[in-house]
Amino acid sequence: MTPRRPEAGLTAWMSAALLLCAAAAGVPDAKAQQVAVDDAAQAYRQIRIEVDYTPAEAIAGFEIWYADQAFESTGDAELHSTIRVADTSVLERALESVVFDRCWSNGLPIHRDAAGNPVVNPDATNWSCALSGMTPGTEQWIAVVPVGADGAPLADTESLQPVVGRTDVPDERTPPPNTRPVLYALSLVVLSTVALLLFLRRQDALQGRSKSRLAHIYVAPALIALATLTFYPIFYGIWLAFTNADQSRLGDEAWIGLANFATIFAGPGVWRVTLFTFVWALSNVLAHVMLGLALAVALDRRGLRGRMAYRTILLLPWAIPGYISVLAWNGMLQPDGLVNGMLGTAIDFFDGAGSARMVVILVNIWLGLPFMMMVFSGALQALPASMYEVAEVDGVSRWDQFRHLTLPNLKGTLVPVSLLGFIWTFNSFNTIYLLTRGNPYSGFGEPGATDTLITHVFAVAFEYGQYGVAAAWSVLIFLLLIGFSWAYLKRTRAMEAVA
Amino acid sequence: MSDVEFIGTTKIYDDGTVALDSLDLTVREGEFLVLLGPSGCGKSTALRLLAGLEDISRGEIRIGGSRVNDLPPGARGLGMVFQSYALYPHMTVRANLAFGLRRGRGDARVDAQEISVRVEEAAEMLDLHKWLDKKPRELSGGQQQRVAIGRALVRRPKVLLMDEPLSNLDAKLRNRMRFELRRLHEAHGTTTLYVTHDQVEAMTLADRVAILSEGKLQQSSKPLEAYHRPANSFVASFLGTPAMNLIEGAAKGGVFTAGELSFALPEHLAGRDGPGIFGVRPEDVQILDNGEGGGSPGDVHCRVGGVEHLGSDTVYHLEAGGNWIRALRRRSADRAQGTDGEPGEEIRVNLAVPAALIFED
Amino acid sequence: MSGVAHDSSGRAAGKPTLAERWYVPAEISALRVWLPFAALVNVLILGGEALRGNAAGMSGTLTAIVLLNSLYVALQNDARRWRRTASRIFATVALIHGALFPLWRDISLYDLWAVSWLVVPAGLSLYWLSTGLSGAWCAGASDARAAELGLARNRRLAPKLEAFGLHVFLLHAVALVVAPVVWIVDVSISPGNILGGAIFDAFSLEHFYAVLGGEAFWLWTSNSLVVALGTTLVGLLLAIPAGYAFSRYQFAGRKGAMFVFMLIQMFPGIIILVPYFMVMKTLGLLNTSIGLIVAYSVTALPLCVWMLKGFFDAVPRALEEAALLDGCNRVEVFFFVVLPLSLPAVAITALFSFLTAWNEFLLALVFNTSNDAYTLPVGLASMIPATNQLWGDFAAASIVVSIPVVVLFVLFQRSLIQGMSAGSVKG
Repeated sequence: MTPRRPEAGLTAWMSAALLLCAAAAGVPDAKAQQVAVDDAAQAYRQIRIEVDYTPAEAIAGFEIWYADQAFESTGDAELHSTIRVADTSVLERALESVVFDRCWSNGLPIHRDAAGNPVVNPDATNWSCALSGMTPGTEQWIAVVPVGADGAPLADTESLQPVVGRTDVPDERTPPPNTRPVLYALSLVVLSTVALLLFLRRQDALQGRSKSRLAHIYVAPALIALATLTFYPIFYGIWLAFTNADQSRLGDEAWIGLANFATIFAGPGVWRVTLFTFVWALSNVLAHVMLGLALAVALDRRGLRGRMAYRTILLLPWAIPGYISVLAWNGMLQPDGLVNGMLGTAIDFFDGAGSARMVVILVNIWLGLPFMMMVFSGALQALPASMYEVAEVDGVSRWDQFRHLTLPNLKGTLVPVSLLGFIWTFNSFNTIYLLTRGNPYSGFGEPGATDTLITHVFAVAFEYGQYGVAAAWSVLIFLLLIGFSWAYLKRTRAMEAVA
Repeated sequence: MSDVEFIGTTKIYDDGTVALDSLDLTVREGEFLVLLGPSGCGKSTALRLLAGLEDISRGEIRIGGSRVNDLPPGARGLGMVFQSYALYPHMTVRANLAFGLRRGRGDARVDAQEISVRVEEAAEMLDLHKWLDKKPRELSGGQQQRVAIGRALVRRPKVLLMDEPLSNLDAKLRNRMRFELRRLHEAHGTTTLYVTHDQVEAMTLADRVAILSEGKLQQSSKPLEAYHRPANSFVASFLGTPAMNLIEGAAKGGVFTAGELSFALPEHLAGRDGPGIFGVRPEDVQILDNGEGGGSPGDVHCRVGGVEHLGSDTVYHLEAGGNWIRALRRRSADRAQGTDGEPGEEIRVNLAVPAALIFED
Repeated sequence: MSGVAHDSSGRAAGKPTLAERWYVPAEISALRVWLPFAALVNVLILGGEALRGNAAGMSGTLTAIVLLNSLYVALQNDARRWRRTASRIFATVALIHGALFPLWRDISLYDLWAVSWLVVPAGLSLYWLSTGLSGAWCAGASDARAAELGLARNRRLAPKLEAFGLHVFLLHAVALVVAPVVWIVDVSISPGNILGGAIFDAFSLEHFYAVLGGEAFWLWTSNSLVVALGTTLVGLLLAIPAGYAFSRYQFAGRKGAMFVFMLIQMFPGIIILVPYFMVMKTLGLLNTSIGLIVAYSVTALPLCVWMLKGFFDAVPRALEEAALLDGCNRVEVFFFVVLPLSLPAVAITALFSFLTAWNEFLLALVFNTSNDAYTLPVGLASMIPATNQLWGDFAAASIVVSIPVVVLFVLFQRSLIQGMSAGSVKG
């Protein structure tokens, strides 16, 4: 007969665990902790960990680090999230339906502060979290590092021993998605387009314009294709913005009104990501216009030898597939890459927010320059040479010729091209995604430092699976773009009328 | 205002083409000189060399006695009017006129007040007041041209250069503008060098005309002198419409023979001997009505090949001994139109007139 | 002008001639443009030194900037003795400072380039200030004759100096543009998948073997090929009649349709991406070629229609009218007169369509979740995940993918650009 002594057993287990952890961590410290992966609680893209530890005054928080291969140092892993240790008496516990990570402490849902960050009480001994964003089907290594009040780690961050977790739960597929509504909608669109075309045709016939009888037929295939595959998705997208669609609810999303928009504006980093998007687009356009014009003027000089060769070479950023050049720059900017090799340094350009942003902008400038150069080249060649000759006979200096003759006459090209450039940069995705994926990140669920609106929407939709929220973002972005373009055109038209 | 001297000025392009071959020409102060010739003769080249828009290969150009070969265009103190007017499309007329004064490196700094004075002057002279605040695209061709002239004159240039300024205008406007240009020149009196291929413009505008062909100067003299006493057959055929009759042949013993044609030479040419080109203008050819006067040694029997009734004149294309001769008969009160000479008819003309010439080349 | 004594060049005694007043040696004019530019480049170099954390280098570069600017200020328009002396002093100091660069920076190819932006302008300044016509002019020792000689010399020299400056500028741009290409080539033939090491130090074809010998690359290529060809076909089928209709007919709704086409070009792909994705998912078209073909055809449609319309506009109507008079009906006219004439245009639009589908990344990324369905862009990008990056293999694959694309682009650059600018800028 074995006497049942649960407390003794528990104590023994905990001491053993503590000693084990202490020995393993090599830190003769009572702040040992144990991290365990709860395999039973796996979900799609989620790995749940349980952390038991002895509370200590020095601990001000916990950092959760993860990577898809074994690591010993935080330098080889990514920071997933942080849990603060603070007084929770004035805080509320999070509801289980909170969007991203769900955490518990000592069995109950964890407290969250005003910003939505998880907080545990200083005398809690255990917390667990369902970590989202885990790639299914591969092993993930996870380590928990306690940090002090100054943010410095309280354990040795060079010889960590992460635990291994894995989730194989496939994408939750409810009963085969209901294709009927979509097919109905598509057919409706096709029929209405055809009806529109027939109506227009009749208009023409009534007005006696018989010559263009075939026109509507010629245009029909393209218009129908556009209607079904562009208009329909647009309206569908607008509708999605008002639903709670996400990856688990495919086909039976429900209307939730403006809730998604509320989520967006209440979420952290909204204004930061918008601001950066504008900074990103504006700086790109400015640089593109100035450098593109400079290159075009240089190439325009008559009698320049090797002009064709220069022009062909300078077109390379346009000719080489975009993703390849961006990835090449990624490689060149690595700590052991070409740029560092040339300077003799080993800087990780992607590490700090400021440096990552600068680098991302510079690479995009490189990418877009040839197009601008070609447009300005064409515009410059259209300017009459005799205008310059008159100025030359009058003794106008070359710089004055450029300022007063070339620039004003280029305005007709500058305005649409700069708007186009702005929109193109605003919408560009490849550069940021392939250079930094939006990193450095400040927190899970927040837009990263180099995220623009576009890349952030991508993350919301395809990394977090929040289709409804993403659709709401898309609507907002579209309105923003339209508003800006309209304002810009209006202002430049007004200036043209005055000039 | 200055005079212009071309001294042995030559322009040879990189590929070896000789655009201008050793031009020796002087334009006197205040003179209106027209450079005349067919396309490719080098007249525009000469103008551009003077303006400094192209480099001189050999020789010199002097303005006001100073050599200007290497001076940049802006330093030469010239004003230029282009064939296409080359107005600054994005500026108003007023700004167009003022631009050179404001931004050009002039010998004298011109201040804002002086600029508006000069713009007023130009507007007054060229009647531009109505359009001072319009853009070039709102103006007609003739108006644009006046702005171009105004822009050139507003800088009070030493020499005014004009490169076929009337070519882009329609015929009627051209006639009017010819008169305007003449009047303007009398008003401002600037030395003017004017390039054209139109001999009518040359005849009506020029104080002196310089005719060029294939880069070489053929003749430089007063227009009427060039007309009546052309230096060679090229000049002779270039001036005058219809063109002068040029018959290649040989003179011997007071008789000119060209193929099967032969006739007696007029007195002043009778002493000539050897091969040459006989020239007589269509309007100088005497058409003898049949039966009028007896046969004289200068008579030629021709067959009427064609008749052109122009209303004011009648042009006869006559064939004689393998040569074609044009004869012009002006309309006059005492002669019925269109009755004399039908194709196929035989007619007699007299070529031995005082105005006839023989050229060596 | 009479009554005053003249010399041979027509100068009234005592007054400077026109030539004298206008003459500025071409070298000095060139320097006045080059020096500020060199100072600007040195500002960038300063940034480089800051990145290196090299304090000595930073102050050294700052000194260089100050020296260059002082030199520029000293070299003003008029030629006076003291200006010349001051300029020469600045130039000499700059030269010495530059020559001593190992004291305040490292020695490498990059450093040599950086220092040349100080030493060369300073050296040229010193040389030109001291010798020849320009030197004499700066010293104020120029006379009328020298001015005339100088002007003649200017005429020959100025274009050469300008060409030199332009070539320097353009060569720098070329270097920046070509750097990634050189890098890719180097990495592709260097053994191992890590970066580092000098350029072209080792040679190995292992990456090419790995990539071309592996299955994945060919799978991706065939996927891309199928998708690109399909897009071109479908795209042309839709765009050609539409482009023709816009070009030749005035029909009800024409303006509205053109406006709509233009507007669509402005959309960010992301806006329709989510609903696209959901529709495709619902219809089961993810990870298939058809899904991508359909999506690409439609996204490229507006631009293709625009390009084709532009090309059709250039076919003279007189030809069609002649055919009509000959008895063809409109359809025959289209197939037998217009289409054969616009074949080059159609080919260019097809090429453009093909390249767009071949190089497209975002939609392929979203629509294909399984490795088997990857197209080349997604496949190549998958070689560079957050960790365990296969740079060498990626570089080899990039070369194989890029060469045909670049060659096609270069061959047809004029037509492609013409078509594209007609479509995009006109809006």
